[in-house]
Amino acid sequence: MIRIVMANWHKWLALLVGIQLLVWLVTGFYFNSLMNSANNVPTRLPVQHEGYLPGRELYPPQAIDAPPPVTVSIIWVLGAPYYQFEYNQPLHPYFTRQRRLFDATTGLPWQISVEQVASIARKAYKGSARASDPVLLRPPIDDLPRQQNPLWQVRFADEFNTAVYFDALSGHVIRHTIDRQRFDDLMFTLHFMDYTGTGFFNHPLIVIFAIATCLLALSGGYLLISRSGPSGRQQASPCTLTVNFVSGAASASLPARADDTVFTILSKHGIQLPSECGGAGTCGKCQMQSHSVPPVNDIEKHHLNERQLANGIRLGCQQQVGKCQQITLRKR
Amino acid sequence: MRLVGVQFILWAITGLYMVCLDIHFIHGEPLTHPQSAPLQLKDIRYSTAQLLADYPDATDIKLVTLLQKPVYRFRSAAGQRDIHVVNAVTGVPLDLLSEAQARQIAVDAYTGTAAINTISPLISRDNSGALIPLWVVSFDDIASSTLYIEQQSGRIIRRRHNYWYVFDWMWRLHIMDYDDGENVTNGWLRLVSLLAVLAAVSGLALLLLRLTTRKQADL
Repeated sequence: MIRIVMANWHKWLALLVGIQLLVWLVTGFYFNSLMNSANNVPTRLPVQHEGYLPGRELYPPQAIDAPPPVTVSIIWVLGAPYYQFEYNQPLHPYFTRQRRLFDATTGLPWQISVEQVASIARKAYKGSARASDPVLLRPPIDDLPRQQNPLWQVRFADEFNTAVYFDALSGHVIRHTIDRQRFDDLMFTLHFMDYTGTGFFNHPLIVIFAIATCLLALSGGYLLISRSGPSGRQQASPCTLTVNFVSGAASASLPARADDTVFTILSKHGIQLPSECGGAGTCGKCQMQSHSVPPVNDIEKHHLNERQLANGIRLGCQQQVGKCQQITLRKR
Repeated sequence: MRLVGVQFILWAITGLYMVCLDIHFIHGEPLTHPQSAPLQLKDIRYSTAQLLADYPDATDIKLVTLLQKPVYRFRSAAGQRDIHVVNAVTGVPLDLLSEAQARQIAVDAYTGTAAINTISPLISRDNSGALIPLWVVSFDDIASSTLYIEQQSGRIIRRRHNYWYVFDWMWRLHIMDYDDGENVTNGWLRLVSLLAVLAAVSGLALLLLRLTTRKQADL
């Protein structure tokens, strides 16, 4: 009986997750076999910001008029040194960063200008396509869903639709994005069911689908290895199954063994009873009429009503030829 | 289906584990406090100019707090190490971290309440593949939380606990790369995922066939 309950659940679960299962498989196969964009951006050039520090007169960081930070780093932008005062220490660079920049020579507050971003963009781009003016974007940013900080964006009118993203304060390159990566990102969105654009795979929708898929896979595994057959034992002695047809086709006498199921003997001789489960006792479709009154098992009680049982209707996969030697089918 | 059925079940179970546990938790991010004590800038007596006179090739220079003291942390080819730490008050270079210092850093950073179980040295590779000495500090908590502290810099560079190890194995089973879990493009996965796509497509075809032929069967 547990098999029938499980088969029923299996059917509804399959309906729920079937399409997503196919999406997981296809996108998973894509990651395995076809994706190669991560370090493959033909329009990317490294930008050299660093200059030579010794000999420069640096303004002492302790004299800068700002609250004391957690960390001070010396960073370089277009050959000039700057102090980066960091007020938090995010574990990932895309987490919100609290910072201030100061010119390391004068000690005055500083941040990158639009013109400087445009000039870095030209250095960071290999190709001759025209660049858009830099735009300061606030998160969420379509190309970088995890990013929680504002970034400069410069677009290039090339065949890859290159977009280059820069740190809002320093103008350092964060990422080049091209169409191939956008396609890969789409595959990840589909694989992670991340339709709200969180950039992660820990959200309730996928958890629900993962639970459903677990139940689907486990019930499928159970259904695959367990089959419900006839109850009771029969000797393996030879006997004959006689089949009559309502449609008027000539009766057939089929050689069998008493412990064979009616379903297997019929299909062995080319007579296919309607079935979805292949004789596993799940679908209840392989109905036939027995001339004798063979015992009824739980599977048949589940699939057939009182009137059918009284009329000798049974399931071919649940009856052995030994107890059910003469049957009637609707048509051959 | 019998061929790829087991992998289907493994994908489903490992996938469920991975989506249920927050990835930041798995990475051990909640194991340590973010460093938030402000730098004692006014204590600094050893200036950047002095630092550069002593280490002309210094790059990636940072002023940070290590064991309650402001220090310079930077890269330089001087000596036998890659990362250097110099006391910003006295200008004295710091040796590799001692076991007692590592214990102090771990206790200060750890967000839990458990005591330290073991501290042991380890030579390991960093992200760039270079060999670096570490202290491995394990806490006596339910997840066996472990912090890996760089001996050269005093930074906590890895955070591990049992859920991470389970996650790592789930990942290996998910991508069918059983040795180190780093190769998503392995041939096994290619073969099985291709077969799995075929199984799923044939299942879909059977479903469509069943929905369209039902009427004929009833006649």
